[in-house]
Amino acid sequence: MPATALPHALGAAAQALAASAPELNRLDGFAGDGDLGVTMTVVAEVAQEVLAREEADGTRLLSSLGAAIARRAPSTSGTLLATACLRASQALRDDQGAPVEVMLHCFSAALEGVMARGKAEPGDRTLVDGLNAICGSLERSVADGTSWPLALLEAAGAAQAMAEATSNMEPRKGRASWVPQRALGHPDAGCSMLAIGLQAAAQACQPLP
Amino acid sequence: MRKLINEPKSFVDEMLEGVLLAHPESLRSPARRVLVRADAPRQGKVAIVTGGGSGHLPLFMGYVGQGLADAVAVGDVFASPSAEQVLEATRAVDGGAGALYLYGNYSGDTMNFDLAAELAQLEGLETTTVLGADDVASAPPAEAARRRGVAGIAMLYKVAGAKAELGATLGQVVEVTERAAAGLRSMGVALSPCTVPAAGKPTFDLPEGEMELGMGIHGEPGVARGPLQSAADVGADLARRLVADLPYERGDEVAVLVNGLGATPVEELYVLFRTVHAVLAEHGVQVRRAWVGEYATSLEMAGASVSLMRLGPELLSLLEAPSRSPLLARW
Repeated sequence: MPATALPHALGAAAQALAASAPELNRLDGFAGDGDLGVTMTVVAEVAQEVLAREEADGTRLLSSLGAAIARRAPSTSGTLLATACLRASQALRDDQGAPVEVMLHCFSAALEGVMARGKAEPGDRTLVDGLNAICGSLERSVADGTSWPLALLEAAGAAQAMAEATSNMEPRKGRASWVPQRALGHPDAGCSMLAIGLQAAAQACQPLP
Repeated sequence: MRKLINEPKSFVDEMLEGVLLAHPESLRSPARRVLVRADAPRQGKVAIVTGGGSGHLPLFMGYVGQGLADAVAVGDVFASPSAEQVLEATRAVDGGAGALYLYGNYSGDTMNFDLAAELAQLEGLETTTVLGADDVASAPPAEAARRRGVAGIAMLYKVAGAKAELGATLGQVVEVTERAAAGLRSMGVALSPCTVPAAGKPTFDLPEGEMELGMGIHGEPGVARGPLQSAADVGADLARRLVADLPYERGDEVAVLVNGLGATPVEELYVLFRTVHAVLAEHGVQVRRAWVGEYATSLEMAGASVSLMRLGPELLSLLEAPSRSPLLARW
């Protein structure tokens, strides 16, 4: 997306995540410690503060957001989200390509960072699966020459489909892996969080009919 | 729960208050749950930043002092400090020569220290990480990078701290600390569990009369559980496993650290050391320096660990360099 759309998209994602906090707590409670919604409420607050403070410079916005999340939401999910923002910020700084390519590079950098920091692979039923699905969708959009608002919408759809698919996956990382059977039948909380955030961001970026 | 505490949730902060009140000449707190040497930052000196969960005193904050680390980020009991705390610690002790992050290899800690390193870099602060990963029971030799860090890190603080006091560059401090870590192996035995104050009940179940060989310092499963054996048998078993793992060879010189986990008397540790010394002699390994006492505990867990560090001329002199910590009488 063009850098000017980023604050708008992030604001919409933050609002949707704060509104979904009870649902995220519920999903996280099946096999985790039931506080992802609490973390995301803090993340949403932090995002609104950073958006109010920073100018439209996307690189700066993402790095400030990452640093602020690390400070205020030091749980595992907060730390991974902070990592994703910082890596996306670096990718954005080095990239002057077309909007969909830039999105792909940012999400790829985020995926790589989260995999390294969380020591998780695709298939472990974590945030990594959601990010991986988003990257796959954006790759197809780059190949197809899809417009950036539509590419974002399709990526959100891919994230949603992956969240649903995780219902049948056994967790292999983190707290949930201690009681893998309890998670079955419910979508992974981290993947659901990504889908909710990206869906709201994509909707906010669609051209008016 | 037989503990002298107040509210479990205030345990860590009240402990820190006590430490600061007891040792104001040596330690100060520039940010919440961050302690630094009173004389930090020292211009031109490589800063050494450590941290980890509470419940292991004198690890980690006992190794903040002259000739040791400069700062510690303090987590909840058995939980990592946040990246923000590590970053605050880094800022507080930065003397313009970069910082070594030296801590134990646990996923929560690596996640937060790595994120702190990234944030520090955004501020122009250079950092390099060396991990304590000395517990041979936590992964086979082929997967040594996955091993957890236990008591052996105490010796790494002395090596890194002494090198930094000599005015070495970050690269030189990292090189010698990595060399020391490469020749460092530890293994322990647990005789009874510990209780995290906020949990209120023992972290694992270990019946009277049994022991678990290789159990981690947070109660992570070990390699074998069985009836409690004599100090001679346990000491010989630990020493032989350590010698075989590196392996330490005939003619090697080592420093030995026999560590109590919290509830085992120092007398018993000396009894254990006696056997460790004898087994090393059998293998032609010479003990040049030994410490016997409590260096990394697990609350009130009963048991002990043995750590060996292979020495070269430089490592021995760094281990013998002066160092001073308010929490450790003899270190």
